[in-house]
Amino acid sequence: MLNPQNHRTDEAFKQKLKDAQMGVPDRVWRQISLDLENKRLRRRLLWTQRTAVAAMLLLTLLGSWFWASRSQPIQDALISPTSISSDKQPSEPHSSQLTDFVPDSGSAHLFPDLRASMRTTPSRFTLSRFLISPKSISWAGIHPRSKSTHETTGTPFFQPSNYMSPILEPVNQLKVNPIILSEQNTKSNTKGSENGFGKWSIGGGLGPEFAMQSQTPVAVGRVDESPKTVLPKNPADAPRELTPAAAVHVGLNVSYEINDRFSVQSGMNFINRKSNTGHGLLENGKATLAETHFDASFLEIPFMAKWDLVQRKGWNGYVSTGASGTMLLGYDSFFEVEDQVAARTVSNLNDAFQFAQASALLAAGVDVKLGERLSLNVEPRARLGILTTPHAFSKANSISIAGISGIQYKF
Amino acid sequence: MRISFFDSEEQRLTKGLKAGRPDAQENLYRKLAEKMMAVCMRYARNGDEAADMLQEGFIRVFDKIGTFEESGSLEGWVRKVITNVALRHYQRNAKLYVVADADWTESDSHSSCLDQDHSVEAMLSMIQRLPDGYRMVFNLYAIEGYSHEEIAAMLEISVGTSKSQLSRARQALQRMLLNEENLAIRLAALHA
Repeated sequence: MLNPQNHRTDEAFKQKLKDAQMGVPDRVWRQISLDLENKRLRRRLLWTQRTAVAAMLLLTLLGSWFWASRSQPIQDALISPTSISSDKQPSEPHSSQLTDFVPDSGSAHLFPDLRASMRTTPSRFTLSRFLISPKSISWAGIHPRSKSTHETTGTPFFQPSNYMSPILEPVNQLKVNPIILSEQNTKSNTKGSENGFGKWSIGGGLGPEFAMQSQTPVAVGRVDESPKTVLPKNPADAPRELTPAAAVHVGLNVSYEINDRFSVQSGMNFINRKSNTGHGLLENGKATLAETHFDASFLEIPFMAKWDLVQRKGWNGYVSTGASGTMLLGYDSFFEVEDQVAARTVSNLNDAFQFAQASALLAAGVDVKLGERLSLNVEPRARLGILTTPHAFSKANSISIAGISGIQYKF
Repeated sequence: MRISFFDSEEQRLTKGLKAGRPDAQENLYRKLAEKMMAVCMRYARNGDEAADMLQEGFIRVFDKIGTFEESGSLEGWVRKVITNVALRHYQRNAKLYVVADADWTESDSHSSCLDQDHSVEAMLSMIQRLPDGYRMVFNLYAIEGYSHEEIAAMLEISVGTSKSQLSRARQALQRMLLNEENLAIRLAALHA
């Protein structure tokens, strides 16, 4: 049972303090609104970065697709009217629409310069193609790169119709079948590539990157890990440690094969780095723990030369080297003393795309073939910072190590 | 965000907060800052620490407003968040600062008549002079109305520790009240 004196004490304090109001220093709202504004800016910056990366990825993929579609002619089939003769015509009609076709070998001389050609285009399915052979609807839809148009030249009044279909159809058959199409590509596009595909490839990958960032004295352990932890009275007495700064590295690249063993590569990497560095501080004779938090994003443009040292059936081993330029996209840095933010710096849009670091890159890795065009890439990479700014990724110690893994697609 | 004509002022404020609107955030701060400052003053050692708690507390309120389910009052929820921030602050610092428990020896209950009307500032000052553990338990039990079991869970201490800290806090407060009252009597006698 509650002692009446205790009850009176509790009630006295409760009545006075439960709904009491106290004056608030102006600095509190200033700090809160600053923090809220920083968060809004960071969200906006993050949204901009993500949109930019997504747009670049989309543009790269679309560009590569269009480029690949445009640059791989399957076959030009030139049909001279002089070659049209009854023995070249199919013995059986190829579709129900052709059944009433009556070859007229004598008509060839009416169109002496008629040339009908077939070539791949990245473009549309044309009405004329539709008229020539309704069969094309199906495969044009399934295999966009095999979309074909029949081009006619030299005869202004000539309209492709089922009149020409039996003549074109044998050629069409080569393209209608995607398997045959693929074989033709393989044969006609070796271009020095060992597997018969083109010289260009695109890829994307990601992985962690670590830099030895800090050389400041660090307290023994974290104060919030154990109550027994004692901070040194003098920060100079604390052991000196290097705190690793971890980053996420996301990249896209375009690669061009010079020959079977050498290729060059460029692209862009998005790097986001977070680091927390502990410091022992002596403040008014009392040892406290302070932490510097740094969160920054960078865009890196690398140029690499790659040499395949080992080429096996299922994999290649390689080394690559090159250089890169890194630009700052944004950062948020704050300093905490006893878990209270004491100072804060946040970048604004004017800081975006400022030069941050020039690096020399050295990598060694393995390409594991996953299929005809796809390969999985695993690559440890070292970076040596040559020119740095205060925002550089590897500032205090200029070497950082990354482990990147990704997928490469060969055209 | 759709704002219904029939929404109460608090519902509109909540919707604005959930949408992250700066005007709603400032409105909430202006409405509750002074009350919450008094809450923080009860848990803090001094005004500066209370202001830091208040700042951290409101930032947490704006970060976590999405989790407010609107089943209770917004003010009650804000008070709970700020109390949790104060407790977290205490728990962090409890490990950094060793409480000189030995300085507080148990003694007989001090009988204060409590007839005098002590000011809010004087009572806050008494609470702030308590050691951290006593202050937390007294605030949670006597003013917020939590049970010893709940306090034990919140502060990660045993129920027995919660009870003994409350008892010591009361003794200390009663001694302080008595001292204040005696001082006031002496001052009145001097002036008489």
